[in-house]
Amino acid sequence: MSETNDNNASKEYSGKSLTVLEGLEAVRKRPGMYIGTTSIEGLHHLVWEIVDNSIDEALAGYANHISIEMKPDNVISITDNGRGIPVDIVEKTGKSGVETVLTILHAGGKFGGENSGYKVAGGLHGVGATVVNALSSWLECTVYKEGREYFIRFESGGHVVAPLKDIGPTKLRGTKITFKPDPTIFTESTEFDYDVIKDHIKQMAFLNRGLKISLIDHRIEPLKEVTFYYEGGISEYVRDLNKNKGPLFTEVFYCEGDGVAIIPVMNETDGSMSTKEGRVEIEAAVQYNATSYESMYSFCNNIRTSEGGFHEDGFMMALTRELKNYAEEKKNFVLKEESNKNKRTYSYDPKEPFRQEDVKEGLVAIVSVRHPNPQYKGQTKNKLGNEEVRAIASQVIGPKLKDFLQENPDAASKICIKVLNAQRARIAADKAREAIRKGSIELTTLPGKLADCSSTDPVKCELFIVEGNSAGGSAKNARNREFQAILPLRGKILNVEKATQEKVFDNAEIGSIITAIGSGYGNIFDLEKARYHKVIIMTDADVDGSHISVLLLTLFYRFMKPLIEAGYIYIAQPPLYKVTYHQKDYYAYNDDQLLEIKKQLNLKDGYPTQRYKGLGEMDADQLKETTMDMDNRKLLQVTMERAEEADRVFTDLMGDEVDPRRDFIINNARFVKNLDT
Amino acid sequence: MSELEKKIVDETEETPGEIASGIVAGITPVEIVNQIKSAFLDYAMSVIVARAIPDVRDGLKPVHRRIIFGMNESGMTPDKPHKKSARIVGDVMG
Repeated sequence: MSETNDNNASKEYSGKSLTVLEGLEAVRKRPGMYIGTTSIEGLHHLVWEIVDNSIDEALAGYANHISIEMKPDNVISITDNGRGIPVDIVEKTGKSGVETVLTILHAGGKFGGENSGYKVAGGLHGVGATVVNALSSWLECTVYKEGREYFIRFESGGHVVAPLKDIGPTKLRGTKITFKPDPTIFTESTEFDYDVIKDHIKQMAFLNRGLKISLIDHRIEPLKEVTFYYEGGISEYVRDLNKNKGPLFTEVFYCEGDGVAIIPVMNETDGSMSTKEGRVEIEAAVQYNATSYESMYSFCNNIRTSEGGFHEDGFMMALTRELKNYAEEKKNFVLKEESNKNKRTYSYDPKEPFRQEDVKEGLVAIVSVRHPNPQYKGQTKNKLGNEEVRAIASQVIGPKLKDFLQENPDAASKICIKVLNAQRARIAADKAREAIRKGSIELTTLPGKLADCSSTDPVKCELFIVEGNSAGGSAKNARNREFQAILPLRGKILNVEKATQEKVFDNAEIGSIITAIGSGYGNIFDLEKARYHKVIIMTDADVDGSHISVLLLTLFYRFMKPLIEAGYIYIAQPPLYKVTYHQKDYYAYNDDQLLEIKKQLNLKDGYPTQRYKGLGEMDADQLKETTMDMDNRKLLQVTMERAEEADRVFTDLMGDEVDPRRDFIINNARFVKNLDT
Repeated sequence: MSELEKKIVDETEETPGEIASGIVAGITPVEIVNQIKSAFLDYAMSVIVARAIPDVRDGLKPVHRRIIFGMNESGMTPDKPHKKSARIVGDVMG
C-alpha cells in the first residue's frame, strides 16, 4: 500500500467514523442485547462467537483445525486454517474486508444470496466478531491469505489503530484473532475458565466430524493442553454420553441425509423478496442404556436447542413408528439372562401400540440439523421452529432405522424389551392413578407434614424444604405464613440416581416433595401447575446438609428438570457464626467475614463465637432474621447452563459406577472447602 | 479444576455492605454443576477423613471410638450391672 492510499483510507475512515462508532458504542452500552449477560457466561460468549466463525469456515469445507490459546493477563487467541477474512476493499464501506467485518454490525458473509461465502452458518445476524471487538480492551487480527500476512489492531472498544497492513510473506493460511475483554464491561470477572471452554469445544468437535480443536492454557506451569478430534462425530458423542450408564448393546445407530426447504432470499439490488430451495442436512445417532430416563440432545447449526423443536419431533415420530413396526413383525422377544437359565418372553400386544414416552426410557440420542434459514421460537429461543424439518427428519431417519433393526436383531430385541417394560410401567401407573381418582374426590392430598402457606398465588409462594423435624419446628415459627410453606424432611432422602423408578415412587419422602410442589414428575411434569415459584433447600451448614442438598438436586434434576431450568430452585444460606457483643448479635457467613467483624468490633482473639452446626441451634427469631426473611436473607439460585455437563456429573457422582466417583474425589481432593473433622 | 478453585474464591468473596449485623441480603446465581461438585466433595471428603476409615492401630472407626470412650467415662466396666444401650446412645450423641 502506498503512502497516498494510506492517507485516503484514513480520511475516508474519519469521514464515516461517526456511524461506525455509534454502532459499536451501542454494543458497549447494551452488551446484554448481543451476548446475553456481562457475567462469566457473557465473557465466554465472546470466545464462542469467534470459534463459531471458525467452525462456519470448517463447515464450508475450508478449515479443519481450530486452536485456542489462553494467555496470561486474560488474553485469548483463536486461530483457524481457513481461507482468511477477505483483505480487499469492500465497495460499500470503502474499508478492507477485515475492518468491515470487525467494526460494522450486520456485515459478514453469511446472509445467503448468490455471492455469499457460506451455505450454512451458526451466526445469523453478522454481529459476532464486531461485538467481540466492541467489548475488548484491544483486539488484533492477523490474516494469512494467498501467501501474505496482514495485520490490524483495534483498541478501547473497536477504534482502529492503523488500517490493515501487509507485513510480508507467509506460508500459513487462515485467520488469527487475539483479544483482551474489557474489564470495564465485564465487571464480574474477565478470567476465562479452562473447563468451560474445554466442555464447549469438546461438544463442537463431536458435532463437526473430522474437525480438530485444540485448547492450550499458557497461564499455568506446566501448561495444560487438550485436543479434540472425532472421526465418528455424533456416534462417538453417544458412546461418550453412555460411557458410565451401562449401554444395552455396543452398536450405535447412525444416519445422515438431507431434504429441501423453501427459504426466502432478498434481491440485493431492489430489496424485493423471493424464495429459493435450500438444502437441510440432518444427522442422528442413537443408543439405549440401562437407566430409566432419556438423554436427548438436539442441535441446529451447532447451537443446542434445549427446548427441542421440529427436528426432535420428527426423530421421535420415526423412532416410535419403526420400533412399533418391528415389534409388530417379531411379536415375541426372549430375554436371556446370563446368570440364570430363566428365560423370560416378552410379547407385543398390537392393541397397545408404543407411545413416544415408552421409547424414551433409557434413550440416548443426538439429533443435529444444518439449516440454511433456521427459525427459533419458545421462551428462550431454543426451540427449532422450521416445520418442514419434521418431515425431513422422519423421512431420513425412518428407513435407515428400519435397516438397522433388521441388521442388528440382538440390539433390536434389547430395545424392544426395554420399551415393553416401560410401556408396562406406564400402563400400571395409569391404572393406579385412575384407582386413586375413583377412590377419593380430592385428586392430590397434600402431605401431612407440609405446613402450607395461606396465599394461593404460586408466583409469591415459597416452599422451604428443611432438614430435620427440629429445624422444621423453628422454621414454622419463623416463617411468614402468608406465603412461606415448610416441608420438613426426616434424614436423608433416597438417591434417585441409583434407585429404580418403582422404589422412587414408593418412597414417602420423595412422594411428599412431589405432591407438595404439585407439578408432577418426569413425562407428566407441568410447570404451570407448580404451587411455588421458589423452592428453597434449607439444610444445616454442615457436610450432611451438603449431602442432603445434593440428593435433593439429583431428585429435581432427574424428575423435575423444568423447575431448575425455570430457575425455581434456590438454596438458603444460613450463617455459620454468631458473635454476641454488648447484647447485640453479629452474624458471619464465612470465616473471612468473621475475621472482618471481629476486627471491626475490636475483639480479642479469644473472644467467644458460636459456630452453628445446624439450623436446630437457632431459635425462630434468629432463623427468621438471618435466613428466611425476604429483606435480609441470602439465597443461591440454581441455574443450569451446561446441561450435558450436568448430566455427566450426576451420573458420575451419584450413579452406580464407582470408578468415576473415585477419580473425581482423588482429582479434586485438594480443592475441598469445608472439612468436618 | 480451576472451576472449583474459582468457585471457592467466588463464595468467600463478600460484597462490602452492612457490617453492623453481618447480614447481607440478595440472590446469587450458582451453576448446578459447580454447586453439586463442591457440595459433593465436602461431604465425600468429610466422610473419608472423619467417618469411614478405620484406625490403623486398632481398627476402630471414630464412631466406635466415641462409644467406647463414652462407656469408659461413665464407668461401665464388665464388673458393673447392666445398663440399657439407650443411656450410652444419649451420652454419645448429646
